Amino acid sequence: MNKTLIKKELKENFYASKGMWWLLATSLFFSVLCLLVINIKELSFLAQTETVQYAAKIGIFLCALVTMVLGSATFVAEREESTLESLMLAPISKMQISLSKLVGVLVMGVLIYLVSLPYIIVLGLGTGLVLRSIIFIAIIGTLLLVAYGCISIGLSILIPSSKASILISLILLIVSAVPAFMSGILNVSALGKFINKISPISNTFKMMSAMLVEQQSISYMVQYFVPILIFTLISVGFMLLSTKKIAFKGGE
Amino acid sequence: MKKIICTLIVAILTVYAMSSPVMANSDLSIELISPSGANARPIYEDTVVSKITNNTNETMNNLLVYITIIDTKNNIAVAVDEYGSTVDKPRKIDTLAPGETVTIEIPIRFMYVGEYELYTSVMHKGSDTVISSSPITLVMIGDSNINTNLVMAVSIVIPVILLVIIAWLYMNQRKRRNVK
Repeated sequence: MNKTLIKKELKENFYASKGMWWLLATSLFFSVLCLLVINIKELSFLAQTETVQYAAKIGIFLCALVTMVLGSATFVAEREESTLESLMLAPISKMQISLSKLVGVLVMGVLIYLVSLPYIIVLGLGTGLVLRSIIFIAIIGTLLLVAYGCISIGLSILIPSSKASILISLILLIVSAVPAFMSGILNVSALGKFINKISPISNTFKMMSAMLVEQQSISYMVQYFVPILIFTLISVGFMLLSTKKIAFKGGE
Repeated sequence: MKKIICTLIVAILTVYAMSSPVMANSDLSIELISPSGANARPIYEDTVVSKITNNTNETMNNLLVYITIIDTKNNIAVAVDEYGSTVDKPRKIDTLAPGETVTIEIPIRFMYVGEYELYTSVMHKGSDTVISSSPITLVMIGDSNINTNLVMAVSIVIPVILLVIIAWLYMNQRKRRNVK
């Protein structure tokens, strides 16, 4: 990986892509949620363990969302601003360019996670779930971040328009997340059950419940971890294959 | 005087019928054996045990037993699938011989604070009969150690800190641009 390129990516993600505003938006979102939880009776009916879980789920989803949006604009933006040519003429391999961009995107995802951390901690104080939540997000959340980061970067290589790239990335994120919110309906049919079983976000949320609330054994959680790991490996493979097709306007 | 006596008899009979643990018609009866109620903190897990009896001299086929939960505070019949992974699946009794009694167990899981009434019902497809047990009351008391002052402080302080950092970075960036 190229340090200069990673720095450039971080600067772009932070300033040009308004990454800093993403961080502020995330914190405002969590603040509003927390204030709702403590002030509105209808929301305070949740057990505290559930509240912590919801906060952790929202944190993971927001990290994935920001990673997808930023990642899907990486190569497309270079192409549209005609800077990809100079980037490719630099003495660094295509793989290095892709990995540097991935790191840049992942750092933004991690920053979103860090912003959500104080909220998860204060909501979970007294439940004994804080440390487990943090470890869970750090391990499984990172896997998801890598997966969605790879997919979005792969798409930004293959799709020529930034709007199309961002839109397709968002659709993919929503499609993969829908089973997590509709598991009851999907479990009615065999196809629905299958979709539910392979959905990475659905498996993440189930694994979170198994780990934080049900306190199941590690062997029980393997059934949820394996689909997440496979999804991550496929995503990394997709990005590596897409990297070979990096080309500026008019071809190399 | 007659009116008063009649009213009293009707009232006594009504109270007796309401307080009976078993709701039955001549053909079928269902009794909710356990739990008898609960006053607990979420997450509360238990198994609802119901006893279904065929009171006729004929075999009954295709009986379905299911749970209904009513949130009395919010005045809603809740979607039971949120109260256990198999609660929304009616338990099927293929055959119930004359005078036979079967026991059905349905695990439940309460995650939310509130006051609930829970009862089980048995439906006989052949005679279009639905019989329900008497309800039990489940009170899920608050289990929150959330420090509201701390949550409020974090909810205000974090965005303010971020805003200050962002403003500082933004100003620095503008200064650098102006110097260039």
